[in-house]
Formats: sequence, structure tokens, C-alpha cells
Amino acid sequence: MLLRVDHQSPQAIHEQLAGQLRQAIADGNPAAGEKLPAARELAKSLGINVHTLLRAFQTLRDEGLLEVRRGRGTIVTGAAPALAAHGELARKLVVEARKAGLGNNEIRQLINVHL
Amino acid sequence: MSERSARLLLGFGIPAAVLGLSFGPFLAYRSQLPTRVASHFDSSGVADGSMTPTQLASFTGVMMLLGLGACVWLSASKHKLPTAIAPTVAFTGAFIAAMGGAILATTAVAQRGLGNWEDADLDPLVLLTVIGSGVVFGALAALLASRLPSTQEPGTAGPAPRMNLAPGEHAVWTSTLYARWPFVAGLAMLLVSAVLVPLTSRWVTALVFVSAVAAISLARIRVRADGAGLQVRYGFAAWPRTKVPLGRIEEACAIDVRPMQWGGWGYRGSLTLMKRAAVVLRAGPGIRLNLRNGKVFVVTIDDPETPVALLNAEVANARAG
Repeated sequence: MLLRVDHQSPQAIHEQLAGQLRQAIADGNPAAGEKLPAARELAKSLGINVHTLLRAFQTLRDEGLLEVRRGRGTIVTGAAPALAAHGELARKLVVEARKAGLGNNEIRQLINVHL
Repeated sequence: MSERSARLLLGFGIPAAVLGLSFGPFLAYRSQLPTRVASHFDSSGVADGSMTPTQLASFTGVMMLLGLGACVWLSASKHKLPTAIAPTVAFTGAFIAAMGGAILATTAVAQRGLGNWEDADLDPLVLLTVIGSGVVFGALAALLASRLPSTQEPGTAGPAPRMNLAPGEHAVWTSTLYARWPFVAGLAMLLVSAVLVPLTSRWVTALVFVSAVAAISLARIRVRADGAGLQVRYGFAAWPRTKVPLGRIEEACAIDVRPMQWGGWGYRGSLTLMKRAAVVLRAGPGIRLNLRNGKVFVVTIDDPETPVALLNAEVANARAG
């Protein structure tokens, strides 16, 4: 898992980190069931506030990629690798479809056809 | 320390110390020893074997001769050995010699004035002295032998790629490597040590227990590379760990680790006592750090290209100021 902060990027730091973390989980490192390193240590390595990193963790938690277990730390969920890999595909689909002028309902219909 | 003084200490200093500290007390107390001295003890510390003092001196003398012979040979030889071989030979030689010497000395001190060898019992302190002498002299000899010139490192170093990291920008990389068999072996040994408790002596149980903990510690490693350098954590707790600060790193490269080139599996070598240390959990990709003092640190991990590029960038940025 590689995390880095680009201060020149227009993207917010917590969004950059969430994206990198999602990519890492899609690549299988960290794998399902694996514990993430302590947020405090990672933030220290990156020279950023720990709350910025925890915000990225929170985003992935909302997406079902991470779960926080009391006393055990932050764990990659069992469904995370598949979710992370296909979540990225879904994001690209939505971006491309919108560029092509499709609305939300049309995009939903597109996906429903294949379900 | 210069190579010359290391050779002198290894070839004369250590042999003189071992011989003086063993035959000194033996000759001093020779007349006060019983006709036969206890030379073997059962696991509860009761004497169950004996020999004459002369036999004991000959037996331990041979141990010292062989062990110290290796140290003297290393110090006198101009032949270059592959890295880490000389310290390993020196450790083994001095370890055996010092244990032999300590057996002779402790027997003389502990059994002087005894009427009969069967009255002797084994003080745990004596056992500790014998093993401790071996380890201390072994480490000392290895440290001295690491000063001798050696041939080139095995394993060709790959290129040193560098991540595009702006000055002041930081990155962190972490990864975990699991090895299944040490974990299984460790658990099995834990069970065995639990079964052993009522059956055998505490020493044997403790030995099996310590081996089990050591095996489980090497069942998982967690590696972190960042602006502080490289960190390896062993096992399932925060300790033990190895830290290589960024300031000590000359260059990092990704290599293909062949266990036999690095002394086998496990934690091989020593950064303090030898010129290299390697954490080998399996054959395959790994990180190699060439340190500024000429030593080498190797750790097996998947995808070593990323941390290697990261460390090289952090090293370059730190040097640029």
C-alpha cells in the first residue's frame, strides 16, 4: 500500500488518500481481513494531520471497504477487494456517461438491463 | 578499530583470555579437587557421571584447541572469505572454546574441597556462566572477524530507481508478508511445551517455549518505508522490530532473494556483529539496502520496486537539504 500527498493537486488531501487506499485494496494489498497500520503512524509519515487520514478511512468505511473493530483497529472487509475494483469501474462509467449527456435515470436503466 | 588490531585481538587476545581464565583457576585449585570430578548431571542437576581432573582438562582442552584454532587461523590467513563467513566461523570457534573453558573453570571453582564427586550438584548459575561465556566470547570474536577484508556480496544488485517525489513531499509504503510453516511449527511447539510441563524439567520446557515464540515471531513481518527509513516488525506484537534510519541508507534496490546466499531462512547474520543481516521468509523478491558504512540489510517482501523507489527519493531529497 502506497500513500502519498500531492499538495499541488486541486483534489483535497483526504480524497487523494481515499483514492489511493481504494486502489491498494483493489490490488489486494492490503488483502481482505488484513489490519491497516495505525492511522497516527501513517499520518506522521506523511506529515499530515491524523484527522485528514481518518476522514479518508471514514469514506472507505461508508463504502463498505473498511470496518473498525473495537480494540482491533481498522480491518479490510471480506467484500472489499471486489467492491473496490468494481466501484472504480462504476465511477468511470458514471463519469463517461455524464460526459456523453446521459442523465441519472438513463444510467440506472443501463445498469438494470444487465442485472 | 584497524584491521591489524582486530587480527591481533582475534589471534592472541581471545585465545589468551580463554586459556588464562580456564586453566588459571583449574591449576590454582587442582590440589583441592577430589580424585574424580562430576562431569555430567541429569536434568534435575544431580551428578551422574565423572572423570579425573586430568581427563576433564584434556577433554575441555581439545574443545579450546579446536575453537581457538579457528580464530587463530582466521587472524593469520590472508585469504579473503565471502562476507559473513569469517564472523560465523569466529563465533562458532570462540563459542565452543569459551564453553569448554568455562566448564573447566566452573568445575574447579565449584567442586574444590569436595570429598566425593557424587556430592556435587549443578548450580543454575554455573550453567548460565558456561552458556554466557560462549555467547559473549562468540560475539566478541564475530565482531573482530567482521573487520577482516572479505570478497564481494553475493546476489547482483539491481538498478536503483527513484520515485518522483518533490522536496518536502512525503510518501509512506507498508506491506505484510506471511509465512505459513513457521506459524504452524510454532503452534505445534507451544502445544508440545504445554504437554512437557509435567513430564520433564523446566529447562527443556522453557527451551521449547522460547523456540515456539521465535518461530511465531517469524511467521509474519510488516515492512514500512517512509521518510524515516525502513522498519521491519516481526510477529504479532509491536516488538521486536528492526529500524534502519534514512540517514544510514546509501542506496536501495530490488533483488531476487535466494535464501542460501543469505545464510538460509529466518533472521540471518547481524548488522552489529557482521557486515550483513537478512530477514528471509521465502525465496523471491526483496529489498536490499546498501548502508553508508558498507553493511547490507535485506528483507523479503512482495513488490519491492515501490519501497525501493520511495527510499531512494527520500534519500536524495534528504541529501539535497
